[in-house]
Amino acid sequence: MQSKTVQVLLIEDDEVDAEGVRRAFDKKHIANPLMVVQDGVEALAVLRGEQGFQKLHRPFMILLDLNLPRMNGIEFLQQLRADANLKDSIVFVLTTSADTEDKKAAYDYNVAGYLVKANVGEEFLSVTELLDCFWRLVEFP
Amino acid sequence: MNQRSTSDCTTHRLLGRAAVLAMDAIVIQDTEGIILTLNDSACRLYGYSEQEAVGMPFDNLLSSQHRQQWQQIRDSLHVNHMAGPILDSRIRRDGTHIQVRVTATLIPAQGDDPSVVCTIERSDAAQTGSQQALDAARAGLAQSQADLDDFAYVASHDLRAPLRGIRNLSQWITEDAAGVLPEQSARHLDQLIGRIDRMERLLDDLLQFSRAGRERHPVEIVDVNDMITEVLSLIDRPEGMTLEIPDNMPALRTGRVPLQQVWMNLISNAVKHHDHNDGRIMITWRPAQAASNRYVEFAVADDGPGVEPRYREKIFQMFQTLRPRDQVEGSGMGLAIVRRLVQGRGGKLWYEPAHPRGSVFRFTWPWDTAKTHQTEVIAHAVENRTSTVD
Repeated sequence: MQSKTVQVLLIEDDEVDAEGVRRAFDKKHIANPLMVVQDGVEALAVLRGEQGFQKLHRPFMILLDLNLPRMNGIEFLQQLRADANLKDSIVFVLTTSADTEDKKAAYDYNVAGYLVKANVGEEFLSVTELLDCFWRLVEFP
Repeated sequence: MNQRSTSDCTTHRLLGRAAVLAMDAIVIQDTEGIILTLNDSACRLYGYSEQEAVGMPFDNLLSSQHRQQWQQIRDSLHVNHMAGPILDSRIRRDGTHIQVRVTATLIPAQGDDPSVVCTIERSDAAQTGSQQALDAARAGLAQSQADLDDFAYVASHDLRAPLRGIRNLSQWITEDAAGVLPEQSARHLDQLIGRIDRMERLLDDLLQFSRAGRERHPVEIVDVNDMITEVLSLIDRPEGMTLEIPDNMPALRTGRVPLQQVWMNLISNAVKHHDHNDGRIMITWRPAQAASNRYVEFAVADDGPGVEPRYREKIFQMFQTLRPRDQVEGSGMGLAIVRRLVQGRGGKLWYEPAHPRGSVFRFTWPWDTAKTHQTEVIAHAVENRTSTVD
């Protein structure tokens, strides 16, 4: 068991999709703190405690959309893995892109899982369940 | 005297003008071989300006071994008046050689005008040029086709994201405000979600349509009888509706997915648009009647209401349906997709009325897709394209 609650950083520029994640958390009574940022640049600032953001403390988990403004998901992964303090971060990709190239690129940067969000509804609830199980059972860095 | 006849003078002026505009090179020289005049095509072909060419010996356009031969031709014209067509070569101003087909005529002396020799010369290179233009146009057509496919793909893919948002939002409103909403607003929300479903189907079909053009499938032996049995198991039909299929259906070498899509669309159309629950659907085949024996012709016939003559071309266009969308499920893309799949393999799809009532959809499909020549596919696509333009 984690000694501290896992915080979730959601990197998602579509506020309806972000709301969808929030609602799914509520439905499954997941109380873990959820922070939403809109792109890779903002996410790195939060993870490093730069630009006036308070640094996100461990344990945390990242939910990453790939199609983002300024710094897209793959570029973000590249920066993340190159940063000595952040390279061990646990990242799940949550995207509409079933593109095989995107998938390969994401796994090349050692993501924990690549989840395609089809219609959010019921399917998304099972994704939420998976994440809930994950941080219950898995020891975080 | 005929009122419409023009004066000789006008005739000469008009013919002169026509000669200037002609595609073939026209050169007029005197009997000594000095160029008197030439048209624009001749200037272009040989690379001389008019000023340079007039007064120049015709021999300048000939290689030394041809000059003797041309003097003989000029001399022979006094007897025969005409020579050619002769395959000959010319030297252009820049020294390059070109092949030409030449006819030479002697225009006899008249009054003060001495006799002259007129040659009409057509370059093979000009034909090569038009072949190149045709190839370029064909490549351009293929390119714009590919662009259109890409556009359809991107559009159908990218339109899906905001639509998903709209679906979620309306579902959430339904969930959160179920007890609070006035009955009318609740109904409007239901209708809203229904429209979203329809839009998603349209996008799916648009995507399928674009894939019908782009995707290549592995070729395998396909037993058409097995394929139709499989398709039938996927289609809901009224219990009384019968499907007749001959027991000697052929096997083809083809990609499985596209042919299955064709059968799926045609058979489900026949079921969906039938006005009786005890309708009959009949499938038949025969070797294609066209000159080529590489194709087999299939038909899906029904005894339903048929299609009125004025709609028989329209049904093959994108997004066309003949009944309100609330009555019959469908995006109006089915036949457009089928036509594209069929044409992509050099085949054809067409409609015939059935007797005493009903529709017959016929299509041709290659016995062996791997042996279909790309040129045939292009030729058919061009032919069909022109025939479907309004």
